[in-house]
Amino acid sequence: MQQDTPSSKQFQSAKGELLLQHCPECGTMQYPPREVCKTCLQHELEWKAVSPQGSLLSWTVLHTSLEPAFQKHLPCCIAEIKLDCGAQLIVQLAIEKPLALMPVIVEIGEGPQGTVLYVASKK
Amino acid sequence: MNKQTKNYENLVLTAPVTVPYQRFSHHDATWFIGRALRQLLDKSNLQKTAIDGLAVSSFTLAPDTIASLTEQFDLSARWLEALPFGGASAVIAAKRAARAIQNGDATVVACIGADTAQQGSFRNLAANFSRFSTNAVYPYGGAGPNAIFAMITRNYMDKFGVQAEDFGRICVAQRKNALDNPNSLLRKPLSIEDYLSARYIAEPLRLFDCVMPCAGAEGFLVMTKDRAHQLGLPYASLLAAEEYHNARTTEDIPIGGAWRVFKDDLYNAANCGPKDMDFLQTYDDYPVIVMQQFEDLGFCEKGNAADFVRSTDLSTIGNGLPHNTGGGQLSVGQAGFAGGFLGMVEAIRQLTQQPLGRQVIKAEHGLVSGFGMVNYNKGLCAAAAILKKGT
Ligand SMILES: [Zn+2]
Repeated sequence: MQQDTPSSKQFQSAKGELLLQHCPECGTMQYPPREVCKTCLQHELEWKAVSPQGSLLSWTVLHTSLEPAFQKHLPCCIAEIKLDCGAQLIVQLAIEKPLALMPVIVEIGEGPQGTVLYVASKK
Repeated sequence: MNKQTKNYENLVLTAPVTVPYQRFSHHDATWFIGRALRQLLDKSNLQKTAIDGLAVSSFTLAPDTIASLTEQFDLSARWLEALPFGGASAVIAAKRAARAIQNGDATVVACIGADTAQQGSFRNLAANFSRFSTNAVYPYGGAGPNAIFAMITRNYMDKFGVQAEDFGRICVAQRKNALDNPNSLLRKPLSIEDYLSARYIAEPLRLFDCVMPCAGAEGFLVMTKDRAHQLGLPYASLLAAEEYHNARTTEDIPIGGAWRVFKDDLYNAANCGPKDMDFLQTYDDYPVIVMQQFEDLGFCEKGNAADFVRSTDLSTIGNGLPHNTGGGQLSVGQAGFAGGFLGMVEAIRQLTQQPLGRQVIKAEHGLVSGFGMVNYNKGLCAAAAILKKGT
């Protein structure tokens, strides 16, 4: 399911920093990862450490899933957050009483099938 | 925005057909597309050789393409168009078919939206919908569009003080409209209490906020007015149509769609406004998107859709704004890409006095709106058309 293309490798540096795709030519930070820069379409992109801090935009508690592996983890909380660099990420939310615009911090976690995921918790 | 848009003078939509919906089917997409095409021929009394253009939307047609269909149906064509625009596909099909005929590239175009549905096929669609969703959305709970629209709904509720009951009014009115439509998969009366007591799917979305995926097909023909007259077919004239994709916005979570970009051009081209519409067919994958269409298409101000639904009778035979007059996808079911054709085909049915359910009492002008393709965290494609009863 996860495609092993250059644009799907992501997540974190050896030091545990959060990495996002960065265009050295025009400075665009982008997510989800792409093969080329969404702004200038230049193709030699880098990974750059960004602040893991951001704010909560919206969230949902999922009571159903199309994916058998998630069934025993329901209900689970998913959110959309905006990092301070401007990128918007879908994340797992580890906050009991979420509030719109509350500050969050994003870390790397693991999904039910061992997939690497973003997890946001209270800052 | 594009004031130079050429009008669609003398182009008409006719022969609305529906291949009955079913929850699941063991047939593949070509069965549904083929049956729709056959019904178009039966209804229009045209020979297959008279169809020289074909526009098709289907998620489940792969590995076949629209080119495969010419051989499947032994059809020669001068013009083919595949429409991968989700719920915006039917309006775009009508628009492009009309342009092709206007430009002499085709004379009669069959427009068809069709999909099959098997156990697990919706999961496969959601899991492999786009690179972004496969990599950056689906791994988070595997919920498909429900998760994204739940978050759009929560944001919209918070921002404008909208209550669950307000969404419920839309769903309840549509169910009422569906009761007389034999093609509707959900035909049990729905009360606001039923709506509110239903289980959560993805909070704040409950069961009746979400469409039921199914199999089925919808289709119509595009031709000149003269041709429709010759064939003795009742028709709807295409007054205006617009599409827009990936509109720029400053909103982190969208509170509207790209209809905002072209609304004025659409009404100017049709020389009428929202108050002239005798009915409205919105794309109703979730009621929040219906509200955003009410606003972005000028039926009420931004943020006022909840007030609008509290004070407007949305039923087919009421004297408010007849809305999703056959029941919409929320009641009839969402037959994949055919879901985007439901509103268009229903609009043509209403304007030619051949509804499957109830007839809108005065149906002279109607607006059809489409929305589709949640590639990552918002719908990318929006379209709308204004149709007029043929004379
Ligand atoms: Zn760049």
